[in-house]
Amino acid sequence: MPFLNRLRELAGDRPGHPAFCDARGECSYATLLSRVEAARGALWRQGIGQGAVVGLALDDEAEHLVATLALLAAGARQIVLATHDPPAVHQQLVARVGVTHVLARPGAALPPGVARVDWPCADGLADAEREAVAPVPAAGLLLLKTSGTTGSMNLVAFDEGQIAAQAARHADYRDERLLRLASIEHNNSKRHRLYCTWAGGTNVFRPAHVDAIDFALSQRVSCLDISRMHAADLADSPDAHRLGALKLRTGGSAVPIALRRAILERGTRQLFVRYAATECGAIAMALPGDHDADETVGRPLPGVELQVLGPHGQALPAGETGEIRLRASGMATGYVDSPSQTAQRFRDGWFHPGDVGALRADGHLIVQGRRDDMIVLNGLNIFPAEIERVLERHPSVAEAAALPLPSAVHGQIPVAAVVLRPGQSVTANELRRFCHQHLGLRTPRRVLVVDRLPKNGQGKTLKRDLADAFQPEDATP
Amino acid sequence: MTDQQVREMLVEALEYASVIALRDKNFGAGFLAGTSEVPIDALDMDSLAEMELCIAIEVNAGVSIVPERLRRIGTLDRLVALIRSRQ
Repeated sequence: MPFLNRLRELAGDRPGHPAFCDARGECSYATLLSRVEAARGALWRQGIGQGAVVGLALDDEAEHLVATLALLAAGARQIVLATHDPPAVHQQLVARVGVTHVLARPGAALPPGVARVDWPCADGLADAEREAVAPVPAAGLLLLKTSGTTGSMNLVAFDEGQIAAQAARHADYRDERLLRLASIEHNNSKRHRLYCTWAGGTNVFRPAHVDAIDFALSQRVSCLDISRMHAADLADSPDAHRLGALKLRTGGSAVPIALRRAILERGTRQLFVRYAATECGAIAMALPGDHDADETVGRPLPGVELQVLGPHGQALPAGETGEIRLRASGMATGYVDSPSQTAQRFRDGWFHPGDVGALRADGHLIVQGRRDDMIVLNGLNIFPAEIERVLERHPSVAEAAALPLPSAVHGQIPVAAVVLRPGQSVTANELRRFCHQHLGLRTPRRVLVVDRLPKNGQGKTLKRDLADAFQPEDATP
Repeated sequence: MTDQQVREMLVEALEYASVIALRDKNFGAGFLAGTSEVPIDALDMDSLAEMELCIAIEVNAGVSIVPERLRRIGTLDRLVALIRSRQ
């Protein structure tokens, strides 16, 4: 079912229910539908339908959501031109996917060679008039960016049916008021905003520079979805207890048990840890009672079939560690314009996320890390995440990052960098011994204490940049 | 790394690799001061300890040494000289 038809259902079932709210107030499902319908007509008049590829350059989150739904209803392909990205990145994307139009606020600078679509737009027609001139076309297409295994960016395309199938794993959003701190311009947020809309829930958008906790409470947010980095900040915040009545969802990278316990003790008991991939949506989710020393990500969600494979591609029994593969309703079937990456990650109807893990006898999935990140020291497999978890258990350590240094003799040598908590002092050798007590041969052979870890815009540590800090000291007389 | 830094790094690595002879035979102080020759054979290192020592040298000084070669180097002083010559 196209999103437009789903919106029509929701506008009939719960017309006054808020579809979204932000600092300007609430927008009901009835109002959202009429805005999307009017914008669809206006887009149609500008020739934007199937065949159009529209770059979406709106940082206003609520308006971005309405525009996304209007473009889907128009049958266009759409891709985010994130307003935080520089013009050169926009130009690369425009050329790569053949963007024909850019939808933006009036006066916004556009990449060369594209037609402008000013937002907001409306056709001023009555619904019956619009149906006569602008029939609802086949499903629109959403192009999402995802990081590739080689560091290059991959693109996946989802039609509305695929997004709807993924949304079925989030039917519980129907009764939620959902706040995500990451902007809708990020693909993960965009998907969840659409899932919430599909379910009939309420998307809550935070204005810039407003305290997250104050805002969440003032807007009666019931579900707060944040990155692991934000979760760590929150666990340290003296205000964490104010979130006691909220559901807190996090994921995106390994969430250590120490952090989970800190949130459970100081924040909220309703902690959910999700395992997901852009290529297929949510895969598994640990529920409030599931958190344990194995750092489970929970059981695979309904609609997801997941296996753990051995080195010869055979399915492994419970408890054994191997490569994860899965198939899920709404899953992509490949990458746009990258047959080699598609062949590598999408095989025999399965998606291979590149992660290594194990399924416990009780069905819980334990994700140990990315296969590409695995450090192989003299044949011993070591995951950076296991080193990072141990270091982050040390009371003086705020954050850790483990990485391999290439070695002609030993293959790869594990090393780690840490950022200390304010006011703490501990030597690198003390931390190395602490690791050795818990990790034995898997311990990092060198630990550096640094002021901060190099990170990209999404808060992900740039380990290649960090490796430079491990260059041996120059010889001095 | 200076001569002294290399010596300190080697002592730290040998302690980390649980090379008991370093303390039992009281090699550490004389080696750090550069006043006593320590034959590598006398350290009674097993293969794991040899490997750990080579990893420590590589990760701290950027000098690759194959564990099997260690004993042929002869003494810790010669190992220090080898590391410094290759930096």
